[in-house]
Amino acid sequence: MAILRVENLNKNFGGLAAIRNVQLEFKENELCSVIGPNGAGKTTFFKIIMGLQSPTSGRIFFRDKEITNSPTHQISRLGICQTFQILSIFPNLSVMENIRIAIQSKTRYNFNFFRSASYYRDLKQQAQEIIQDVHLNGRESSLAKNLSYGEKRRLEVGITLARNPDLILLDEPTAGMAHDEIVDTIKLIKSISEKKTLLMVEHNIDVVFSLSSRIVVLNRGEVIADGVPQEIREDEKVQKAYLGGVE
Amino acid sequence: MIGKWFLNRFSESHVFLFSLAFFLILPLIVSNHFIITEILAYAIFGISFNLMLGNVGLLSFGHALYFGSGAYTMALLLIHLKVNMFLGILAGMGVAGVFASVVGFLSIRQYGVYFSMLTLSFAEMAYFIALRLRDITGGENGLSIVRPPLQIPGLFSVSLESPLKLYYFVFFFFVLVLMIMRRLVDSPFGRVLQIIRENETRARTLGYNVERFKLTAFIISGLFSGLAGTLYCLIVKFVHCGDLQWLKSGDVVIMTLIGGTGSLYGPIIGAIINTFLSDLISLLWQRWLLILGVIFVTFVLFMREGVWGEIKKAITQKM
Repeated sequence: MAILRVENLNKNFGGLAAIRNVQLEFKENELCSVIGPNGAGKTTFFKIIMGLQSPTSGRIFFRDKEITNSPTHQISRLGICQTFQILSIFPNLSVMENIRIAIQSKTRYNFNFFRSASYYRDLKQQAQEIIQDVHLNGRESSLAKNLSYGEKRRLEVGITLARNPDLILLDEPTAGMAHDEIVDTIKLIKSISEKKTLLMVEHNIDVVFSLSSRIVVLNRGEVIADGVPQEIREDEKVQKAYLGGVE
Repeated sequence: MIGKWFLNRFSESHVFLFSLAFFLILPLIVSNHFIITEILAYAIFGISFNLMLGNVGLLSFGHALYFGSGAYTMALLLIHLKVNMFLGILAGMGVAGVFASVVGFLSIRQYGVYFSMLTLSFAEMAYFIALRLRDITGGENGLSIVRPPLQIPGLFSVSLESPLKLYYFVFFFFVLVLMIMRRLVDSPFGRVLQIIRENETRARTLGYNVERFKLTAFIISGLFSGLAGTLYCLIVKFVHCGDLQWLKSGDVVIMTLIGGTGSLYGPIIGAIINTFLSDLISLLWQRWLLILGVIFVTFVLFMREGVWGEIKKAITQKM
């Protein structure tokens, strides 16, 4: 069974078609990259899956349950979560609190008004494990805004992991990173991909080819290629879109 | 890092205890007990209002509706049914809570100016209805009440005609509200409000039903504003439809912005400054609102985080 199925998806912004007739299926445990030139519709595609934008037409299924036009929090509760291209952490909360609040949403503590939030040890313990996973140990009590850029990126991933989703959408996980930070991130994504299904938008072609088991290429909202990395590398249409295709 | 965290918590509880001590001995310092009792009621109003502005980041410009409906409920129940004071307080909170649920439900999906304008228009609607229903509300002339004694039938009965007793009666509720709000802000629920303010989209992708949290906060805010209204009605022994008007809503906005939205204590300082100043300047000059306006503009231009924010900045810079 496909974990995510997209049928005839279209999204128009006024006269501009950002997504055109996209028809895709993603299998459990695959690591699929979505690539394409700027403005190809990659981020829009993620936003529609996550329910942050509604499609003009088409349907989306998560494990055969239709999620088209569902509110974001419900989609998240089903087991999809994303990381953002533009950092989306909570700057005035500590690292620990950033992770803890993400775990808390799955619990029944949310409408507890009178206990201190730090009271719940079980949450703290789970948060500690996530912090270890994204190599932020030692930084638990730092405010998120005081982290270095690479640390913030890892926290971004950590917040998403803390939700324990089955499908993770990674929007440019290495954007703006220095070379050795990218190496660490590749390792991190690799270890996550052993347990989860990942969909990744990424501009760094080295990252894409070293990680993906499958690559989908979008150009002007359309899928122009879909296959294993070797096929994509040799695809003429892809080369054209990247090298000379953008008028 | 941990030391700093500890210091933060440490100092917060100290501020809490200090403010309790301050208001506990205030009647010994200030002889005009009426004014300081009024300050307490406005402080409760400000703290409740700031749950929305400071914690959720939504500016309600119609909080007079909850304050006023609380006050009116108290007055009407006292006049027509001569109920026990505590029942009046509970009923006032309840009515304010119902209004807050309805208005909140209809406006909580809006942002920024749209939210402010919607809440304002609902409150103004209530104001004009109250103005028209002169037989019930007394219109602009309002209703006068007789302050009932504080009593539990068969157990005790204390008259609140002495200003000092009235002060400590309101002080009790002030402490209660401060304690509740303090817990609330630090609770798991409070944390969710904080992340909604910091990054709403992210909160949604983490599975939080943002509207539900905002609405809950709005209702709680309305409930306690209603409490402030009932107490205010008992203090001034009077309620009129001006208590529902936008000027009242504006008062609490000004108070909170002057004091600072960043913490529980900002609105308290704002209530002190606003009430004292209004009282002082209005004696000196008829056009005293003009001066208050200048002060307000000065704060918005130069002290964006209010008095409390400036104090905090000064302290942290020293460390």
